[in-house]
Amino acid sequence: MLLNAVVVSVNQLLPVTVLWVLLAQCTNAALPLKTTLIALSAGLVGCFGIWFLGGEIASSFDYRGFELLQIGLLLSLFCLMIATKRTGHTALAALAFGLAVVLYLHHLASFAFSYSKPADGQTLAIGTSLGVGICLSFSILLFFFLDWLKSKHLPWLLLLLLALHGASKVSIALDLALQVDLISAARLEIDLRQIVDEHSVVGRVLRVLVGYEATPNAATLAGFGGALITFLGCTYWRTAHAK
Amino acid sequence: MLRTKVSSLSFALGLPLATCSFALWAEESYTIILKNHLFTPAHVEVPANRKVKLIIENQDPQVEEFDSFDLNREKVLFPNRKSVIYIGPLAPGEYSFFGEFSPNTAQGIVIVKEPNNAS
Repeated sequence: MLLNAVVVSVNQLLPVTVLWVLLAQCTNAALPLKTTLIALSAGLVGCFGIWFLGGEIASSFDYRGFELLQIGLLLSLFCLMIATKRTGHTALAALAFGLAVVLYLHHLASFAFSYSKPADGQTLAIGTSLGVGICLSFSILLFFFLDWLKSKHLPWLLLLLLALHGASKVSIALDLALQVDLISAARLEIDLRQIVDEHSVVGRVLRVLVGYEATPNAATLAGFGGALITFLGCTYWRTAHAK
Repeated sequence: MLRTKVSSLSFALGLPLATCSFALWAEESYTIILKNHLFTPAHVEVPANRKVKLIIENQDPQVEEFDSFDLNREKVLFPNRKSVIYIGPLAPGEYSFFGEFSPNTAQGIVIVKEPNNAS
């Protein structure tokens, strides 16, 4: 249970903390602590809502309801990331952060509520604390690494990382659409599992950062490419107009 | 007379169309039960190069998450609810899946075989 709690909390918390760091370093909309806490609280309320209504949502729309909700959240997050980069509004960054909390932390909330029996409560708490610690450590390192990149005058690298992260939300949304048969995709003969397996630590980190998939399909690959071009195009258009 | 001809024509055209549409929409489904944090059956054989539907019934009182890196699938399984996942078309091979909240017990494999070899 201890190791499981660590893995689950890292898997679900890391995308949220990474997004916070990327918004802080790659846009002009760094979230102050107070705004972060407000967005976090609002997101947690959303998580509880999903916890209570999840079964009903999942059964709706011919068992596609939960995926439809997740797709909506992911695409909204992608649009909000572009809008935040373009405008630098803190409110948009806070909304993006709140959506990410709902999107990812409802898994953790479900896990915590389902398995918090008195016997396992302490183990669960220790495991989750360790997971939070790992996520915070990684995010702090990432924050200062991106800060160093900024000091080396490499803003295009930061923009590329933000765009890759944003595009990964679209590819995840397309995977979910495939999962419930909303779209179809051809199988590709790409298998990178021998190079970097998604199970590995590097694979998991790359998945969170840039949406790495060892066995992508045609739809997610095309969607990822399209989203990347859209993101870069929108932000470049903004930069060009600003000049 | 005219009505009979029209009926015959529509029957002649309609039957192949109906058969064709049935072939297009027919989908094979496989049911997996999750009980006591175990997937049953743990090995599911499906035909290669076809889209198939997995119906997963979580009979446990806790929530679980169906997770598979090999299949690129991730789905929350709510307690005492049915969930549906589509997979494929897949190349022959083995694709593992597990329950993220009980990875030591809730494990399974989707075995993809050429249609002639699939049971």
